[in-house]
Amino acid sequence: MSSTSNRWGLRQSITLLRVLIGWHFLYEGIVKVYNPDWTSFGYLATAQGPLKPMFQALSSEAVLPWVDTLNWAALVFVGITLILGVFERAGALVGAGLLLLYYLAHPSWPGMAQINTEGSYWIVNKNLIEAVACLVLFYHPTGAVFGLPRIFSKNKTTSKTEMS
Amino acid sequence: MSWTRREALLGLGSIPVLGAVWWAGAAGTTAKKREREAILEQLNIQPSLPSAVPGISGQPVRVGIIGFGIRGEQLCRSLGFATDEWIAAMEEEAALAKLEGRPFTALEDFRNQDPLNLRIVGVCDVFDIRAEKAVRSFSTPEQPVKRYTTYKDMIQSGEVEAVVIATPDHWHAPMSIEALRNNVHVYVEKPMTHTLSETYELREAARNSKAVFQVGHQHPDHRLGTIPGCGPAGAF
Repeated sequence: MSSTSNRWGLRQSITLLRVLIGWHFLYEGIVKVYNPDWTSFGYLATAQGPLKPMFQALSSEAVLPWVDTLNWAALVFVGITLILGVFERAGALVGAGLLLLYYLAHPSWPGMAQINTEGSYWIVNKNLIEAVACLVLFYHPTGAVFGLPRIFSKNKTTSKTEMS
Repeated sequence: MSWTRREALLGLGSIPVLGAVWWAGAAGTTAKKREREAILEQLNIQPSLPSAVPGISGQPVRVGIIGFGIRGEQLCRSLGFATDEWIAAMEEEAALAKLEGRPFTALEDFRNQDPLNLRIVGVCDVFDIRAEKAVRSFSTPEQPVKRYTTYKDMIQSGEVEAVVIATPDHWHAPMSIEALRNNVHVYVEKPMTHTLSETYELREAARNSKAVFQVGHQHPDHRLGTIPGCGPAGAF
């Protein structure tokens, strides 16, 4: 039990990270669900970098509705799983995948036009960082700390006060 | 399972978080949408996307070029017509750029333009070499480009539905007025007129004309291609 208490800060931090990332994803997804005019067309059509042809192909009229639907569905899925802590590993993986796609569509590499970005980046940008954060969540599930799995978990993490 | 307060909070606490984010996203988005609709309704505006360029159907618009100098050539390229000389020069430039490993897309960009469904049917330029260049470059077996001696000949010929004016500035207004009086659509660029009195005369001509009068300023646009369905809304 003493080992658990040593890791107290780490587990709680990762849990907080999980809820915040889930929060971010869910909000992005919900905003798109409730706005029928939303489309990923602009984002795809202005894609940069080596995968530009692929992203531009996705913006064609035939596939675009599917891409849009898949995008918000994936965002909401990641949001729900990460906030509630259920299927959190799947959520983290899907989240990392989505973020990598966003990163590759508009890579912050030298020599590429930075479209619709509010900061200054060199190779590393927020999408990449959040993708790696999702990787951390994948390897460190925390649903048993805070989330629905805690109710069913027998292997509960102890609180700060150790009970002997 | 121990149902302590701590367990309940940590186990179920994520549900209100989910609900709050969901509510915030939904409420914010719908509120914004309602606000937008209210503004549009108040202004009596039907939001619509600009009509797509590739879908232009019907008879091609018959366009005449007045003035085929530097700007005339550029405007013709915007319409989808480049001279043989320009294409050859760009091919050379592209080959050189490839050799030097730098990007050069002028020719590619030109070829990727949306078709505007129009024909260049006439040209008018006092400089023989330029007029002949247009005739040579843009004539096709089924559509020869006719050279007119004066802009009045061209406008009054009845064979030209629209003119692109790319002459020295002081000619802009007289040519525009002449075209509008003959119900020929006009694309002219800044400066629209050269004197104040011309401006009023041009306004009258545009008001009384069935043709569309369009002034290009900084960015030429594609409206010319939609003239048949454009109507008086596009006029002055």
